[in-house]
Amino acid sequence: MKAPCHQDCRHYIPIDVFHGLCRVKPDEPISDAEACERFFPVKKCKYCTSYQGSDGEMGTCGGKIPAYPDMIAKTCEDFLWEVPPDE
Amino acid sequence: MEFPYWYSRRWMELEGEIPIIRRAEALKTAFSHLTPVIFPRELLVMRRTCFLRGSYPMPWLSELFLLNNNDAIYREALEAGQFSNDQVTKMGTGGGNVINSIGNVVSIAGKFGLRREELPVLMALARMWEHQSVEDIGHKYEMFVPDYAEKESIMRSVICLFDSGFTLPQGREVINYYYPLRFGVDGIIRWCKGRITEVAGHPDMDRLYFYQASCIALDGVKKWVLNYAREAEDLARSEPNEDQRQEYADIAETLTWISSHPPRSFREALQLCWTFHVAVLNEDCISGLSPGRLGQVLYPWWKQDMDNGTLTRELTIELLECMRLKFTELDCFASAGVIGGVLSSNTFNNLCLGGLDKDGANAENELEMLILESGMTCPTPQPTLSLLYDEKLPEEFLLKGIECTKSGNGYPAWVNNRVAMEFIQNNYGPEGMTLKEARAWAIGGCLETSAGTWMPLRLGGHTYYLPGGAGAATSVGVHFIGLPKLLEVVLFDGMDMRLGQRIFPSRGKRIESYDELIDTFRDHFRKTVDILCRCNNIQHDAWRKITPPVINSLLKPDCLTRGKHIGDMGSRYNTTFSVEVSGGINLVNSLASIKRNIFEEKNFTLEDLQSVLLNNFGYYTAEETGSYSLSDVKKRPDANTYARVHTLCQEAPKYGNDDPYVDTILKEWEDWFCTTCHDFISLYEKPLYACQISVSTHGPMGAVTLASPDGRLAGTTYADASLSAYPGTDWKGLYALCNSATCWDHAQSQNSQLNIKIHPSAVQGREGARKFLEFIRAYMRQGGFHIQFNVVDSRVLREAQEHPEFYRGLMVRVAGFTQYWVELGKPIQDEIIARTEHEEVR
Repeated sequence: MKAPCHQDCRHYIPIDVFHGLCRVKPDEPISDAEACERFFPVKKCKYCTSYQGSDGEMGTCGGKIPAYPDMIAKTCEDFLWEVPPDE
Repeated sequence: MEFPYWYSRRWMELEGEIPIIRRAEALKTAFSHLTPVIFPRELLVMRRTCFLRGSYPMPWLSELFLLNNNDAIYREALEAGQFSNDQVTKMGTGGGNVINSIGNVVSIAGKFGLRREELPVLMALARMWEHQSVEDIGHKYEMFVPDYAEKESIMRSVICLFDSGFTLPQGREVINYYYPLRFGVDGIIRWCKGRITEVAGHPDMDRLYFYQASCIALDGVKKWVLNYAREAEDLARSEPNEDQRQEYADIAETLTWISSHPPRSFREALQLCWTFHVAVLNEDCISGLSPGRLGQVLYPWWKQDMDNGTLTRELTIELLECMRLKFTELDCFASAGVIGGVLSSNTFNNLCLGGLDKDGANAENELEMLILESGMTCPTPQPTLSLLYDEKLPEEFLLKGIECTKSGNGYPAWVNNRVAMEFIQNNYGPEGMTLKEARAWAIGGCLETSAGTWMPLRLGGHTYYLPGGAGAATSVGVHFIGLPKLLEVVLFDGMDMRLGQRIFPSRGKRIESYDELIDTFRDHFRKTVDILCRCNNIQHDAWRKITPPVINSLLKPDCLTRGKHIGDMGSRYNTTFSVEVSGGINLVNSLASIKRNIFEEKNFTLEDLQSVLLNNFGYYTAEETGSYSLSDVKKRPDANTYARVHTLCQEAPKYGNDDPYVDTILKEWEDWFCTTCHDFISLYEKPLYACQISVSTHGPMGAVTLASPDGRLAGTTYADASLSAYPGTDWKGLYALCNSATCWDHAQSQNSQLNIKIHPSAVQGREGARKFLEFIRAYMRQGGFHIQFNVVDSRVLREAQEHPEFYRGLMVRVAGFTQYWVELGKPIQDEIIARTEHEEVR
């Protein structure tokens, strides 16, 4: 899996598809740039136990329903961390 | 891609379910899963996507433009002329438009940026909806229309710009916020549940499904709002700054309350209105969902808060500025031909001010003064403002409007309240429209006169009557017919010489008189409208069957009481399909030129005219020079061959100079056109009516049109709007232009549109403001429906075209809307620069 970037981080607020704001630093990071030391993963399908697939392609949710890795899953009732992050 | 993903996922799970229930469940799932994103310092929250300014495709409506160009279904659509407008549209290259793919961002339709990691899901969804979308189902059945092949020819030729039945199936209408404001979300759900028990098992079972669908969709909206509330609570918990923490806490409290209950304050009322505005826009592909007379809708809460001291004018302005930013976030996801060629990236959320109240007294209020003020302190393209001019409005209010227009932001537009009421009463009279109800009208979209109603509200010991929309979308019908293009095809006996294709059968004889020309043009116009109207009815029928509107319907009187959604004529007023045209002034000027030069003075023959038109009067075309107006043209070496005829065409009488010769032609055209539209019948079995705004269509439609008999060159834009003079041809001043514009009865049409460019020095100071108001007043008294202004120095526009990097915030009035200069395509920029600049208002 690729190294996490800003748009994978909970502190990142997307302004547009190129860049956003950081809630913990006074920065306007580029979404694709590598995340900093304050990185904390935002819930995404690719971090969920139900997701099966690889980067850059369609995968599945639970082996049946099409899903894609970078979809934010903050509002998904079934989201379960595959590797729970350290608080 | 969140919304389309979750919508499609749930939709596919429910195969076999009643369509409106399936639709509501899909909407609920999509709303429930939208990621809440709150930016620091926002006071008003909720947005369409997770981005500041974002939108998303709705492949259930239209998926073909998303597919790979090599797909068989795409190529078939290309052949059918479904993408012809895309091919001739020039998108704006600046601002927020993502015109090229770069890095991990993919450009779609020359405007939208999609994260590359989301491309696979976009393609998967587009394929999932193949043969199931409104576009595909509608196309399957429109082919049953006799002469359907001619429809394809018309679309390929771009005589008509786009299929309206599925591209923008809702919009150009006024939303109605009354039910949530009066009863709250839970109150509406309770009411619907009560109705379900009354209608279940009784005839007309569609009511049961509509009420159930309303409950389901509202449940989704509630979850969406509460997700935002929880997000605000989370942010408040982790926020170190005390002020910001309190703001997040206030947001959480506001959202939690309005997720169930009617608002208690101005701020809650504003947040609730905005929430439902976005909810409707997320439901369908909509351009022109207007908040209507929002200052009058919100006034009861504002007055209450001001009286009890919980609100100040300063905080009101701040909230209104936040509202302006929220409306400017809105975008509509559609193909390049629609988003660029028609909309110029705008979504036409028009906020109206003034007019009359239910009892005929002036309706303006103090909150509307602050709305005008916030339009100056926070200049943004949206919501654009329209002032519903009436003689009863106080001078102070009108002068505030003038101050705002003078600020150069392109708003408010000035619209004639009485003319609009007359149209409303005539058009909706058969459906029961009364004088009192006609007073509730407002502009839906750019300039679409829309029916409204008054709804009672009791607050703080007072009874108020809130105006709001009560009509279905006016975005559908035949949209848009390029009149100079149609004339060109008539002059070449049914051929489109640009494509080298036959569009209409040959008449087999030459045109011998002016009357014969007019008759032939009218026959072709009727034939065009007839075919397009029937095809559009089928497309729109597919829309109402596959993706019936739920949220917009439950807001709009009388859907809830009738138990019918908008597509089943649940709205109080349903005579809302129109025939929209573009390039009317070029048509009229061309007819004047032909009449005088060919049939009266016999200066040249029709064959001579054909030859010079094919040779573009000896000039390079707009495509060859990259210039789309007459202000910057380049002669070919053989130009002298055509110079005589070109001069005669240019010197023929021109509209805008109070010249009865050409004004008579305009009046005859308008009277015929406005009457003829009634001969065609909509899906709802109502007559169509005339609609005359250009939006941005004068760019792409000009691009496909050869040189025209009025002297206009090939590929250049038409005159904008419907009553603006062709640039540089109105040389007798503003009052002569107004006399020409009002030579016909504007109340016959849903609108007319007159754009004027004025140098700032012409209206400077207090004296300038008074003269400006008197000029507008004179136009309104003559029966003019609409007038709007660019108060700008053309040199600034030229400079902005050269150096867009320094003019990111510059806004201009196009034709019914204000837009960032840098987001306009070059043809429209050139046209605005070329508009006649008036240096004096007397």
